[in-house]
This record gives sequence, structure tokens and C-alpha cells, in this order.
Amino acid sequence: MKKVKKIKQIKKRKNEFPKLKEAILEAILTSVGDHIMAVVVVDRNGRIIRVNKGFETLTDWKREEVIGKSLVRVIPREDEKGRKVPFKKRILHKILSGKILASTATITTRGIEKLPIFYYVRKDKSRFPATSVVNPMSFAGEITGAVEVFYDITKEKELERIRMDFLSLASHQLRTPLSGIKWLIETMYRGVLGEMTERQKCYLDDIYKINEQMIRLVYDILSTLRLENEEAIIKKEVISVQSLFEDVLTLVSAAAKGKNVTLQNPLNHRTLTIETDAEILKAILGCFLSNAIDYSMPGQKVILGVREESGTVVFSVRDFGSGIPKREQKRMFERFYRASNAKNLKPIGTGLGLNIAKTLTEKIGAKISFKSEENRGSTFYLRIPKKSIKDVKVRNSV
Amino acid sequence: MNKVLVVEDEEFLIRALVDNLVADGYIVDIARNGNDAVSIIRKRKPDLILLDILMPKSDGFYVLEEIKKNPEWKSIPAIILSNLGEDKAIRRALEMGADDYFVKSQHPIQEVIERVKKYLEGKKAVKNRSCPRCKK
Repeated sequence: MKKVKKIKQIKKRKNEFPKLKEAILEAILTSVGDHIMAVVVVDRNGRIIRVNKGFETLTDWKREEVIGKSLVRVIPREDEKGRKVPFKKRILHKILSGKILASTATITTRGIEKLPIFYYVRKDKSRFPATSVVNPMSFAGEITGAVEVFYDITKEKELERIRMDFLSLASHQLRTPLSGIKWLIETMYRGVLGEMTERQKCYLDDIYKINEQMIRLVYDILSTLRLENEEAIIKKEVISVQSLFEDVLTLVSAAAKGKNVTLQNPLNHRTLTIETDAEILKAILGCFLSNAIDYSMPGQKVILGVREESGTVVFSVRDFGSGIPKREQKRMFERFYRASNAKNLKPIGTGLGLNIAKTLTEKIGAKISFKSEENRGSTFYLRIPKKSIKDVKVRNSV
Repeated sequence: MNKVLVVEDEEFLIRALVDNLVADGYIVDIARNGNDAVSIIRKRKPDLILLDILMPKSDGFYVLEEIKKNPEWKSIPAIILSNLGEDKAIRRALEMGADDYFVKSQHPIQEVIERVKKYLEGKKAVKNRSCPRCKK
């Protein structure tokens, strides 16, 4: 008798199992993202079969109003300028048709992780910035539908705007007194206020140098912060390597002379051209050269070289100076990191130069690397495709 | 003698600019905000304007707009001297008709003065070209 009762109980539980599963699923969907994250499940034709509470909150649509309807029609997607994203370009369509396997909430553009921004239109036609993740549902090797999870990023966008406004104001407020010191000292150097004694000039030289370091520091810190946020405008132009070298060598010639370091560049690149953003390339090579000069001993040389390797142009800057201790080499591109022996040759440095160079490198689709030996010197390389920025585009998962 | 209008709200920058310009023989007017700048331009039309952007009351963009919409003023070279260094501000100023843009902390003052000279010499040269007989 007992056995029969137990079997009945098991059968009952078995019958209840799908309902229990359903209840669990409902509880998960409802609690996901505390009503600010929408979860929507569609069948293979993109028709809504399930939504959570977050979907209702974010879109103003009630569950019963949308079940069975096409998701892309219920929730139109727009780009930044308010243009409707066509159905075929929606990531959901691409996933349901098997063109792509899954999408993530972040994209990587030129090495910087960003949220792809688009807008979803609510029932009342108002819109909100959103980001989403879409994944297919597969059964027996076939795509049977998809799940899209999206959330409202109004707050993130607002924070980004506040951050940029702050950066802009902070940079202005920091630069103004520094430019005042700079210009007043330069006016004194000019002798407008009369001649100065050698000792006075000496003091003024020191103040001027400290101020220039501060200007550099402010510039570097703000560049780093800005590069993270902003989609800098990348220009594309054909430039001759020879004129590029002339420009960068002029930039650092005063520093090299001051330190008694000889700059060398073999003349094997007279006809070589490269298609990229000249200013960014100059900034990267300028950073390599300044570092090479800073970490060389007086009387040493720094060699700026270039060679071509199957569609890639390889720039190199070699010095014979202090080098980087092996155990610290991994950290050289970290923000604010300075090697333990760097202070001996350059007491004040920002530790930002190579970090900025690396970010810039990624912006033009190039690669940065180095080899170094302590007390023997370093060689920094920049590998850049001859047509470097042809395919570098921001990809939005629309 | 050429007249240069310095539009700047920071006293220490005014001092540096004025001392250099006067040493080079220019007549200098000073305005400490955008409104003052426009009224000085009206009274004593300058040959060149050095223009800050962020100032109290009305900013450099306002001055630029006023200059460029007035047919009598629009040919006055306007060089922006600002510590706003982002692309957005630079692009806006150049699109509005600014002739040059210096981020102050990134350029020696002498570079600015040289640019002033270049513009004013250029102006002279244009004048000469338009009246070739004067040369004879």
C-alpha cells in the first residue's frame, strides 16, 4: 500500500515539474536586474513569446499587448540621429538567421571598450539610450528563437557627459595659471622689463622648467582621460616617411642637444610612404624618441629606423641607455607606472607617455612592442600596416 | 601704427600680452569680456583681435559672431587664444571664421606675437597689391 502511495506521489510531482520549472523561470526573469533590465524571448520568426517585468517598466508595453507580436516592430531601434535601424540590420535578425552567433553589451573599438549606443522607442514614442545582449536559443542544432536582454543607459550617458564637461573645465582651469607663468617668464626673458643678472636668469630657468613639466603633466593626464572617452577624429593621409622623420627629429632636437645625445637615422627610406594619421604617428614616435633621450647617458646615440615587411612598416627607436629591468617590463604600458631605475635619469616624469602611445597606436590600427635589457638600452617598435586605418570603424551592434 | 585689441579676462595674461605688443610698437586696447570687446571694436576699429573664449558676461564665440556678421568688421583677423584645447571648441571657432587658434599653455608667447606680425604684414601686402601705383 505504502509503495503505491509513493508511486502516486512521484507521479504527481512529475506532473507538477513543468509548472515548478515555469515558476522558477518566472521568478528568475522577474528578479533579473531589479526591473531595470528587460528580458524578452522571441521565437524563430522574431515574435515575442515571453517578457519580464523589466521589459514592461522600460518600454511601457504590457505583457498581454506584445505577446505574439514582432519584437522589432514593437520596439523600434534608432541611431543617435533618430534614424530608424532597418529590420535586416538589427542584431536580432542576424542572430535568428544564423549570421552571427551572439552579441555582447560592450564592443571594442581601437582597443577601447565602449557601450554601443542606440535608442529604443517606448510605447508613447519617447526613446531611451540602451545597450543589449542577444543570444540564440538552439534545439537539436537548429535556432528556435533568441533571448534579448537590454537596459536603459541614460544614467551612464549622463555621467559620461558630466565627466567630459568636468575634464574640459578642469583642463581650462589648470592650464590658465600655468600659461600665465609661462608667458610672464617668456616676457622677462625677452628683456622687456630690463636686463636680468645671470643668477636671476638661473632662478627663472628653474621656474620655467618646473612650469613646463606641470604643463606636460596636465596635458598628459587630460589626454589619457580624453582618449578613453572620446572617439578622436582619425585623419587618413598619405605621408612620406622622410618628411615624417624630419618633423619628429625637429621636435626632439632641442632635448637631444641639451642632453648631448646624438640622433641618427639611416637614409634608407627616401621614397617610403604610409597612409595613416600623421599627427598620431608623430606623437607616438615623439614619445619613443623623448624616452630614448631621457634614459640615455650624455654622449650616447639614439637611432630612429624604419623598414618594410610585407605590407607593414616597422618603425624602431633604439637607445643604449638605462634599459628596463626584466621583472618590470610587463608593466611598462600601465598608466602612471615608471620603472624603478627611471628616476635616476629623469626624476620627474608622469608615467603616462607609453600609456598614451599605446592607446594612440590602437587608434590607428598599429602595434607597439619593445625589447630591453637593463643597462644596455631599449628598442621600441611600432608596426603599422601601410594602409592602416582603412578598416578601422566603430561597429555598432544595431 | 597698427591697433591690436586684446580680449582677455586674466590680468596676468593681459600684462604679458600688452608688454610684448607694446615693445613691438603696437597700440593696444584691452577688453575684459565680450560685451566690452564689441563696444571697443565699434569705437576704435582694431587691425587685429586676440580673443579669449571663456570670459564673464559674454564669451569669445559671441565676439566672433558679432565680428563675422558685420561686413565692416569681418575682415579683421581674429586669433583665438584659449586654454580650451578640445577639438570641439577649436572646430567651432574655426568654423565661425577665426583665423587662428592657440592653446595658450602649449605655445610660447613669442609665437603668438610672430603670428600677429605675420597677419599685419600680410594685410599691408594685400593693400600694396590692391594699389600697385603706390609702389612707384
